[in-house]
Amino acid sequence: MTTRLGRYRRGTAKQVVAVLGASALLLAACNTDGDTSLGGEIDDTGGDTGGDAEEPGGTDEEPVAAPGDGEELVIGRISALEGAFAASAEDGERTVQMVLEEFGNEVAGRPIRTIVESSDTTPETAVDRARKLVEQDGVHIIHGPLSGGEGAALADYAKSVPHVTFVDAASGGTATTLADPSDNYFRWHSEGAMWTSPLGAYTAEELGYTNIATLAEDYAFPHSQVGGFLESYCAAGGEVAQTFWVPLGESDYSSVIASIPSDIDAMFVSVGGSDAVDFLTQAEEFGLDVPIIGGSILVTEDVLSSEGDVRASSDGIVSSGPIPPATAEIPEWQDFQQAYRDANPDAFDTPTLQAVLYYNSFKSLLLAIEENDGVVEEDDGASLRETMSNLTWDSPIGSLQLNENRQAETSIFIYDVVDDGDEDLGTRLINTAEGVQQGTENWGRLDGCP
Amino acid sequence: MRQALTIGLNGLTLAALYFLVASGLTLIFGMMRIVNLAHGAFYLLGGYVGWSVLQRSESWGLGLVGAAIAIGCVGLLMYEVLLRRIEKEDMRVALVTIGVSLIMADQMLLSYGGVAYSLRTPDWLRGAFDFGFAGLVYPRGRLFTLVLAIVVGIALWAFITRTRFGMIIRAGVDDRDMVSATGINVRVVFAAVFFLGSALAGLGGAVGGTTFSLSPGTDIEYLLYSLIVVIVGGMGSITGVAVGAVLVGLVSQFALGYIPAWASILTFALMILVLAVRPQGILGRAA
Amino acid sequence: MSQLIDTKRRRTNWVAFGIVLALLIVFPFVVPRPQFWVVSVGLRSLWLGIVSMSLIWLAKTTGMLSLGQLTFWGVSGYMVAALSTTGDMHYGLSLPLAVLAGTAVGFLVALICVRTQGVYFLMLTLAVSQLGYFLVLQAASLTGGFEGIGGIRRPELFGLSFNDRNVLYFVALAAAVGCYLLCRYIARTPFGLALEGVRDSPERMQALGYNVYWYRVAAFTFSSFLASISGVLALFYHGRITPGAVDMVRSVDVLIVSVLGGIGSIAGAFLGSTGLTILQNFSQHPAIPVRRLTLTGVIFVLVLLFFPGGIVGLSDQARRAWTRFRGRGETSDDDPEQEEPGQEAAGTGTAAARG
Repeated sequence: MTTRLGRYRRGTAKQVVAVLGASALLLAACNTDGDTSLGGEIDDTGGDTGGDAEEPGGTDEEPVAAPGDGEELVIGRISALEGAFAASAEDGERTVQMVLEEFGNEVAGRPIRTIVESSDTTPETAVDRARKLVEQDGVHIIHGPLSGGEGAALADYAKSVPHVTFVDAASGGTATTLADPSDNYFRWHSEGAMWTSPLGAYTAEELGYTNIATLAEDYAFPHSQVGGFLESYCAAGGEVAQTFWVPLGESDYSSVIASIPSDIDAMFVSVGGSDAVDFLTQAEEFGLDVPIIGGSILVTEDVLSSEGDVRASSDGIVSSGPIPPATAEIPEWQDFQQAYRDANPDAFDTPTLQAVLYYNSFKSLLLAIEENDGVVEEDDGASLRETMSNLTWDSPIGSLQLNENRQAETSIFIYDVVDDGDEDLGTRLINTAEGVQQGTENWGRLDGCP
Repeated sequence: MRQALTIGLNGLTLAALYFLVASGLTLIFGMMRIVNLAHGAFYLLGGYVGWSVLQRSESWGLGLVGAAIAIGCVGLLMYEVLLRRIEKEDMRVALVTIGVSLIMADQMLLSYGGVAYSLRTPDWLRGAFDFGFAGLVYPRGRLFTLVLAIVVGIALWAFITRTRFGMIIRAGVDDRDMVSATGINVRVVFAAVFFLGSALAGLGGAVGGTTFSLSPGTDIEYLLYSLIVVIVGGMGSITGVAVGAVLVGLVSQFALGYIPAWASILTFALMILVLAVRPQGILGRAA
Repeated sequence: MSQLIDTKRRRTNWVAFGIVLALLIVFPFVVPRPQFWVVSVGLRSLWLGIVSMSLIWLAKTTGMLSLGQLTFWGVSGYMVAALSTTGDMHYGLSLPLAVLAGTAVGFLVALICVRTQGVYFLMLTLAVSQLGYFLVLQAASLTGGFEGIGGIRRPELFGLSFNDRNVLYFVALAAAVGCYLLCRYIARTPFGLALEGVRDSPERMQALGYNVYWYRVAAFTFSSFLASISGVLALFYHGRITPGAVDMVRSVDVLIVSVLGGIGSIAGAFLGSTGLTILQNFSQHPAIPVRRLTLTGVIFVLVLLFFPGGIVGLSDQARRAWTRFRGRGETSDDDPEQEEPGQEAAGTGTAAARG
């Protein structure tokens, strides 16, 4: 025993010396860009004002690319390809590829190279990937992320690297652009609370439901969905019997369904992905017979075309979101869906919500770069951001422009699910609310009318 | 009343599913002292395989059988190739199974993607069963899960207590080396046990994938619940798994019914309570 | 046992240690792209190494392999965040309080968990860490729920601003070295020796009058203390803390680091953490055809099967293989498969029982 331990101790020391010595030499040798030793400022990039999270240290000077003369443009991308939203992220890759093909893989004469880092919906990982893209790969543009928590963290991080321009891919967290928004963070789509706010008024006024219950998963995105919904619903005179909050990761809703009061007019349900499939299946199995008002990811394409038994309970659900239903007669939208199907015959019949947002955000980015003549690096992106703030264009889902917080105010589409006898269920546009603005609250977990 | 009965049945049918899955885990541990932390990944793969078989054959029953056999083989393969050489080192084996679960999870994400899958309930299991009192109607599919778990449980119990093979297994639990010394080919016995335990996980995945959906993350969910069930019920005991599953199922469903936000925490609190009072689990042997 | 290591070996140890330390001190000043290497690699490897060291130390000295270290790591991190960001407490007060809180939670968990052993203990600590995850998710008023607590203001202590990456790096380095030396020191104290006895022959120790249970609790508490220190450093590294930092994937990361570095060596923790950090950062490189998670899993399994001593044990393993190849022959005593901590106890125990 003694010998073994002793050998390990000696072995430890030798090994540590060998490996670290080698690493140090390797690192010193890895000086490919000729930028030696104390590159960049060591001190921080500002005082600690009002709780901004900052990165330790400053940033390194990066070798500068010459303006728009065919110099390769590197775009960093962060997408939640691992984790619960992998299906949507995969779909997002398809639509980003569509944009790249539209532009011929170059913009303003500069060939585009993307570096895709996958995240797993946790904020820490998203920031780690961003750090690597910014500090190691030297990107000046980041496109991403997908989920709300990541978006808030990246917007925070953005403040510490002002020379990088961030374009949000699909994240819908309210906080990201609501209070003290970062100057270099742009979001070309509306956020979670905005997606349901017209629906609230519609439910009370048009559908005539005045006593409802809500059911949602207990995290930030559903909080804002329920908040946005209840704000306008209650303002229109509606009442809330009870709110049910289910812990993340619970896929058995049967007992919650059994506890839903029987005297309500309707239920507002905000769950998504595989949980939406589970809920809808169980709703039918357990005979839930109140009308369902859906949150924005309850009856999206991936849920309706899933292998689950969602048909019976989805029929007739009214929902709202930032993209029109597949059958909506908006020419640009129909063209876009056709282009998606042509390019991706094995994917869904219509792009998922996140995929559409990925498309819009990435295209907005390239359009802004084009309009700015490809000037990205040399002025630390100042002119690019200026151009992007003023950019407005017609996307497949309507006209896009940004408000003073660099947050888009877009149309919200109210639709319902119809069973037209096809293999999959279809959706039908009922109403469009245009230019919906961001609210003023960052909603937490509500227990009734706000 | 109806609400409470429904919730009670929810708890029992969920317990049935947990039993199916966790029984495989405890069987392998009881006999071979191997904790297969890839058990959750086996569950998910079982579900996916069941789905694939269902797609091709249009037969749900075949899907279940296919899933069980396929995952049994996967488990056997993992045991023979990776674990057998180091099988006496419990800790190292457990760690290797963690590594396997990582690889499996990523490869399943690659093959099946991030979309949610469900097996389509066969027609003869659709609809609800009317109990005839208290206005209680309950989905047939979930009742079937309960029946299946009871049948499997009894079969396992009979197998272990009434057959010669089962006797060897029970002897092996007590003294592995002695069994080997009596000339029984322990290696074959071990392989069979690992196959059976893994097959149970696969079967659980196919059945569970009918009631609930399958997606990345389901593997960790079921691994965790299997662990809690065997910790509460006691490792190495089939009856223990049944007891643990029923407790966990009921606690979680009643919590979801009345205080949903605390459901997950209450389930864990149950585990901690059992540990504090009886560390080996309710029906477990003292360590 | 330690008295049996001769003075010459001890001196070599300290010289080697000094060289390593010098390299680490010089590192921020010679490395290219320091904002990436010092922060994303150096800092991360340091705090990840400390929490892995807590796992390794516990496994090595008591044979208990815990997957729950992030629970205490999370408690201390959340505590600092809640007290000094959401609240207004001065860091000079919140930092020690947080470490104390993490250690206290470690003590409470120990009371329940150390009554079990081996893989049962492993499963338990895993379940405990998941409980921690759900609690953190649920107690939104304290922990910010799913969104966590962001916008951490890094402190300024003794005139040094923790926003400066070099300051933070050296603080982390000092903490890592301090924890490492503390672990080495404990091994030579009566407490440390008693722990080794408890690991190898708990019945014998009990018979000798040592209260095995409380020794185990103490050891577990000490490891949670180390983990808590790491939690504070990690909070300043990330600038935020969310439940995603303490989920199952992260707990397995700590385990991977420990095995990769060498589960018999507390210094190995840092080699492992550096290795994993570099892997996670660079695995997207086009030259690597395998997906990151698959690659991580495969490396983990390969190390477990073929390199049980981890990176640290590589030279020993190579030397043994070389010696065997040259036909000198080794005693069965040197079989690498018996080197695993805890397994030594099982091996010796069963051998002793057989007589």
